[in-house]
Amino acid sequence: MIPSFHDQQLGRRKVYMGLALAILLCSTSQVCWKYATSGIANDATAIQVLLATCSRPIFWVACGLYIWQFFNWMVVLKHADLSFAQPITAVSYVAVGLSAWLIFKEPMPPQKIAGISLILLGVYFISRTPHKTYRPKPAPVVLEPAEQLLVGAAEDPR
Amino acid sequence: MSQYTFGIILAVTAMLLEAIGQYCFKISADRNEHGSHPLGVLRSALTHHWMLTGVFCFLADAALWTLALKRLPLSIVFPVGSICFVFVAILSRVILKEKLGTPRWVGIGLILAGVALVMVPA
Repeated sequence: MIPSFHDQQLGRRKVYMGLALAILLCSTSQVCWKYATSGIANDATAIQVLLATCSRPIFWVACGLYIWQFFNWMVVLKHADLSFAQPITAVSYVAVGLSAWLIFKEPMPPQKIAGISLILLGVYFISRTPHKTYRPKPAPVVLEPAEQLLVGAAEDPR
Repeated sequence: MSQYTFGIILAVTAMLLEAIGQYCFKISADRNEHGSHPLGVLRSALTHHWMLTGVFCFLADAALWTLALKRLPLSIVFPVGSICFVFVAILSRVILKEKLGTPRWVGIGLILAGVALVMVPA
């Protein structure tokens, strides 16, 4: 049976909520990760970097966000095609670019604006496709009484 | 082999591993019998070899990606990294038998061009 219009819309809303959360978590954890590693001396050894990073609470916030991201992503994948959900996460490039401009006052040249527009246009194209490939479930085999007799006869060795 | 070529190979390999990891997660999500509740996901994460393979792929991906970043500037590694979208699309089409259609391919192409424009300095 083809899922009803209501079911499809419900599934689609679930997928979009999950994708929005995935993009939010991805960009937030990136920023936290950046904060956790910033200010460490450039000539520090790998062990020193590791110890310094682990001693900062923001690092553990980032870890928690990553774990949340993982669970959320599994829910999204359960309801959507991989080739639908994964490219839509490219919006996080846009989110990181915009937050760099708004929060860290990094420049926003025309080339960057063009790139961000192209990414958003690409995501728009993908979002116009059905979020899940429709796969009909095989119908259960229902035998007519006469066929059941035949099967019974075939299974009976006598 | 120059550091440059080696860095590119590392980045592409990392993205291939990421795509394989995503593929494993998708299989695991489809076959998850414990529901999409976090506890169900956790339960299948600990019992599903697909999930564990996916996590391993992501760890190896992170290691190779870091090594690539050490050799090349971000403005090169990131556009190269967007090849991951292509790998994922191919795996979805060929192995998962998802219907992609022209709009999705066009969308992926636009995203690749956009990432290159954002990351490569003028």
